[in-house]
Amino acid sequence: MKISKKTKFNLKMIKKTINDRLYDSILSKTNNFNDTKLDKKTLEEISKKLIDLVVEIDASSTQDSKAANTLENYLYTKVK
Amino acid sequence: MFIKSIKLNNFQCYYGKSHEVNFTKGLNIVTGSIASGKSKLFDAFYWVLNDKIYVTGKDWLPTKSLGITLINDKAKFESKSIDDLIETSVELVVISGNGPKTQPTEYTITRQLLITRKSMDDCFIDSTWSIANSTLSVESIDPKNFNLDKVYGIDAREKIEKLFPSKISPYIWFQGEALDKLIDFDNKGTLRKAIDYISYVPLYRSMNSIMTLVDNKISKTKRIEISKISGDAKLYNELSRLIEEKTDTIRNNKSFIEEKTKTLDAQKEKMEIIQKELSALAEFPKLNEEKIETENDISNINDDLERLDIHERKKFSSLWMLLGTKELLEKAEGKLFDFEEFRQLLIYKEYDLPEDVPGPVYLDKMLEQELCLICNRPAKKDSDEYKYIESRKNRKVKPEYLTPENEKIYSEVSSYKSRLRRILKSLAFVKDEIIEHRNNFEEKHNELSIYREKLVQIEDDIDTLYTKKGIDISDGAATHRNKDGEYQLLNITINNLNRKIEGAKASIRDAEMDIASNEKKSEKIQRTNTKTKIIEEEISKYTEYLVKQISEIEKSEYDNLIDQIESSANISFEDITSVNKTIDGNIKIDRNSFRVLNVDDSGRELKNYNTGHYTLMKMCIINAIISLTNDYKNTAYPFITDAPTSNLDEKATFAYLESISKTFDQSIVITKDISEDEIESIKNQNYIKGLFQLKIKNDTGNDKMNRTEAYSTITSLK
Repeated sequence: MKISKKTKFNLKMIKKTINDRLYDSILSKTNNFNDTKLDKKTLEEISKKLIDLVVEIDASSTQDSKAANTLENYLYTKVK
Repeated sequence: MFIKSIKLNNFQCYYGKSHEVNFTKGLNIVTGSIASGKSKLFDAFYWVLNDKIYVTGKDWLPTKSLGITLINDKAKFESKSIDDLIETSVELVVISGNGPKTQPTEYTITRQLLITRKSMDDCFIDSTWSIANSTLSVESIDPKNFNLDKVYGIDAREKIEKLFPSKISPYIWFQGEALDKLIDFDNKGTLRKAIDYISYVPLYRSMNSIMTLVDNKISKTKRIEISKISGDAKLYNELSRLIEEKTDTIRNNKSFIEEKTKTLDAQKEKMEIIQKELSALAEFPKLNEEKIETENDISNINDDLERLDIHERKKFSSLWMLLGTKELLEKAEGKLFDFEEFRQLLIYKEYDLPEDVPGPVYLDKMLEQELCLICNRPAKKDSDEYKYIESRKNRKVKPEYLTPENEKIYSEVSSYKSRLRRILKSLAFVKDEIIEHRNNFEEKHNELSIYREKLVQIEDDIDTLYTKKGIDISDGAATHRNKDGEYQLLNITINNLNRKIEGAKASIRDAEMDIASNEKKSEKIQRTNTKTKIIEEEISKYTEYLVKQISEIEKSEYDNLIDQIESSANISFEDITSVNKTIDGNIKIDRNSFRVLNVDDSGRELKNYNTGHYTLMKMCIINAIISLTNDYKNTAYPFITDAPTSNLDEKATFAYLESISKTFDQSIVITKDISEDEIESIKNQNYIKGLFQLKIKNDTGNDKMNRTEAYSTITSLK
């Protein structure tokens, strides 16, 4: 339950952005994408793109549908 | 974000305009003895942002309920003429937006309250002054173009909400002595609101929505492309149509759920507010009912007493008089007995005739023969002789003097005798009846005084409640009744919404099963050309995978956050408790009740912790929440607290201060728990970046601090 002093030091020192935290949560959930046979690099790139779009929406009130179009185009360029 | 300065003008114990504190980043300590103005300084922070202050024993009071108490007494006392104007204001300068991508902006938040003297009566009573509404302004300079922006009223309020969101502000500003009142962790909503604010659930939801939109679109294109090379295009298209239809059903139901969940959350929030209001008003209906019941009881007893009184006056005055005639009546009864005795005597005397007097048979014979058989003289019918013989015959049955008139008198007299008996018999009970009546009367009086005492107690409680809440009893009870009605209505609405959401969830599950079944059927249809590569088929593998993962992350976000709050709170708890071996265990937040528990390593709740211990656990949770908020939102909120350490011992106090100095970019701690002797030593502590001392003084040299002369001062020591 208790976090060691060393871990605490790390927690304090590493200031993460919202993007980092969202990405970390995906990595943590998927065990660094080791739970699938899909291409890891592609998954990383799609996830990061998706997170960028979401954070942008959050800050600028852009519509989800507009972001979906951007992501769709991005997917066509990334997945071969 | 950090607080640059606060400036006070005639605010409570701070007289004049000379009170400005310039804070630094890191830990700022404001120390002072009892009544030196610490809580008033905290009030100033709270008042400028929220237009209310926390009054111990009374709850949060808005400016309009505070009257002239916010204005400095010395300033009021120095007013010498009508139309004198006194200004009270607090100015808070906050620097926000100093993140990696944003330039810092300085906001000057000012709240002002003006009072004007309207009479020369006592300057410390409200009616002597005209009190204006407080005004609020927020001024800022755009760092890009240096344009000045100044907003007032609602716009200023909105700006403050952006700077210090209300969901998190109870954690940024807290008064240690009123911790339980201000942040009630026993109320589920308290912690949930903070978690709502911190959490990334809206971001995951947005990610999910975007990914699902893409996935649906890609899947649709994929099916169109496959149908072109399908061996049974007709069947494939039909299955695709069904899949599309069910996909639409899912989409529609999801947006229905989202919309209804928003309504549900809003209703739940309303319900929590009403629940809180109801519990705050709970004493009103109880006391009001008790008051009405007791007043009714008193009224009934008074009615009984009045009835008894009338009864006594009417009945007993006659009875007393009657009782006074008892002797006379007894004498009269004696006379009647004498009369009866005398009458009997006469009757017996009548019977007592000589031997030679002929009997009735002999006399009948004489009457029959119309001849006196004693003297042989004729006694013709209706003659005097005949009548004489006849009278002799009746003499034993009816003595001569018992004439009908006499007998009538006798009958009357006899009836008096029985009446007298009855009256005398009743008179024997008059005394008992009067004693019993007196006892009833006394008993009712005792009952009345008990109920009157009860009413006095209830009215005292009502007065206390009025002082505490500022609401009249009948208004409070009526508000409670209305709120209870609202609560019942909301309950029905929430149940209906829950049912609708569950229904939509079931429709989604059914549609998902249908899609899975139709997709299976589609896959079985042979393709005419197996070499053609369909790009959408490949992309949809990624979109499907990510939709699934993100949905699961969204679902577990709440639990993850509570885990993190717990972990972070336990770090502070370990730091602080390491100096005090009497405190042990770990902090745990119950996932269902949101209660804060102290548990051993195996998770069992420890029961032997005291108030100070519990307060410390709560403070560690608060630290964790603000700390996580700062991390999650990339916004460092300052932490401002009054008397956080009042329940801690000296060692734990300093351990706590050191702990928060590590947690927050800026913290302002107002405390009395640092003595004059300790000031020099803590000045040298690296973790303390700013040190201020509050003192109360006057300009007259009097040792005794009078409210008309004394005021607080703030001195910067570090």
